Amino acid sequence: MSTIVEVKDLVKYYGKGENIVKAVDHTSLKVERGTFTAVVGRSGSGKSTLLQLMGGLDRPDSGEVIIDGTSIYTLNSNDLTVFRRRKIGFIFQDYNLIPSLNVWENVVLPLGLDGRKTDEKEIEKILDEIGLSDKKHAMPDTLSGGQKQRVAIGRALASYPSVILADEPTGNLDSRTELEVLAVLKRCVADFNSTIVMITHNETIAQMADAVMVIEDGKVVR
Amino acid sequence: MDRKSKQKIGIFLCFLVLSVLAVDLASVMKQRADEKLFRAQCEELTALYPEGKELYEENYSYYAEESAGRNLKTSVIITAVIVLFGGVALVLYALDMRYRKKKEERARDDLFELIRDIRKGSQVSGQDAMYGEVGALYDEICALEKDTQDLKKRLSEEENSTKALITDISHQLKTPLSSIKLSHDLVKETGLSDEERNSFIESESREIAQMESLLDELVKLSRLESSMITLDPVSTGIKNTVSEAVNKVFMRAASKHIEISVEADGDHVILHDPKWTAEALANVLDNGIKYSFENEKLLIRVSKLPQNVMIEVEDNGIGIPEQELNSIFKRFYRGSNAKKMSKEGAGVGLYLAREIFERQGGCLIAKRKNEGGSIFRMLIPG
Repeated sequence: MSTIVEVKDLVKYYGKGENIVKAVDHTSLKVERGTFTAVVGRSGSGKSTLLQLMGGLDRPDSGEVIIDGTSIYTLNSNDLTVFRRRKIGFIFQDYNLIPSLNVWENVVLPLGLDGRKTDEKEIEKILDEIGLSDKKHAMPDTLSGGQKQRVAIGRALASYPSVILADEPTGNLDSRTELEVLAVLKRCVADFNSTIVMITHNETIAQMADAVMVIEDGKVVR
Repeated sequence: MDRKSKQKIGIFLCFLVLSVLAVDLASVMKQRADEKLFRAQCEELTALYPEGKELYEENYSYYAEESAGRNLKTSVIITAVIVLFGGVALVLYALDMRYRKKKEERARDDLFELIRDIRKGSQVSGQDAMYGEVGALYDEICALEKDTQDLKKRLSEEENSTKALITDISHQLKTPLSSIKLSHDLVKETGLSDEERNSFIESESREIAQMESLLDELVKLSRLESSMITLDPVSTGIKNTVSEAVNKVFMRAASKHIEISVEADGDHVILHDPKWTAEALANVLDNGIKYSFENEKLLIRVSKLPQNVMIEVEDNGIGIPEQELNSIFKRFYRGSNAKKMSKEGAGVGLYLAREIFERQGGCLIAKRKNEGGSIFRMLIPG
């Protein structure tokens, strides 16, 4: 098995003295390439902070995050931005689509920002996978929640990142749409050999994952 | 120096010589044109005022000489500038060649080092500072290395899963076999009443029947694991597949007086393997029957979602403890409630069912109902 993401003794505290919040408290974990990992925890367990640190969106107090052989917090902020754009895909609970761009444009956005050429065939393949081939010219405000989230999945896939980090990707969806979106994520792992780390408070949806980690008070407990 | 560079330098030198020749030629032509002009002017003046002819000729020959000198000077200066620039360009070119050669040598060394690393089996990470063809080659080798790693990983996973499967199967077979052996030994004992003997024989038959069904499951499982089962998807209605599954478990449900009802919003034609999908659904239904109490109901709901067809199986059985939700689909896992409720079952059915749905691009999950019992949800794309 090859490890694609490794978190080593990561620490992030907020506040001081009595008000200290140990959001991530000496946490270590490993994610294998081509797997779907769920990080489960209640709200306030520190799972969102952990994901932000894994994605280079914040800086830890100490510890290391190694993605595809690069210790990301040794990079300066410009290099980290470029690394994040190329190696990490993000899926958020509230989709974060650009309202003025259509489906196709939203999907190829990370490639455009990175000055990379768009391989139209690959993008078509991705749109097919997320089931939106016939909606590529649609604007986000005409899409349902499930469709929006599938566009966000397409956007995360477009740059073929080393790892896709999903923060409660189905938090705003009803339980049927949730299942559909999860089935898409699961298929992406099989068809594109993607690596996905999903955080959720929902044990039911964690069932879909190949590996489940439970986080409590900033620590991985099992 | 390679042939291409020699050609480049040759072309450049030719260009240089041609430029110098062109400048010289231009200068000679200018000189001639000047002389022609002076002569014409001289002749015109002589025709008008013949008395001043000597003065004109003296004057014009002086100007002609001066212009010749000036032209020569200009041509020398331009030639010198061309030669100087040419020389500088050549020197710069040579320096660049040397720099490139060194860089390529370095890249080649890196490439060899990379290949050596790969052969040694150490982890290789991508490197951006590579140029030209060597850089492309480097990327190709890195990609190849990644593929090899993936292949290695897959092979070792397959090996491990086969090992685990064999261990699990032998473990699963040992338990019923030892209990059959025990009954058998007891039957052989003398001094048993007919009633006792019959009871042992009956228990033996029960154990054998159970072992038969276990073996049946294990054969399916090992065929699936060793990829001997190939799913053969065809475009066909899901209704028939659901009926097929219900038929498979009907007798068992009837024996517990469990009523199975189906709610469907019409038939949906989707791409799926009807035989194995029915098998998978039957496993889920069988699970529902096994862990429901007598005279209960089992509800199958079929509905179309935007991207998938969803089949739900709802029971009012013993339910699944929350902390076991993640485990019930594991091979040979049996829940704590399940063990209490039924001796039967090896923890294969749900694992097999999930595999079948996932291999068709779908999924299978379990949900707890608040009022007790469970809902199993299955998706098939279409």
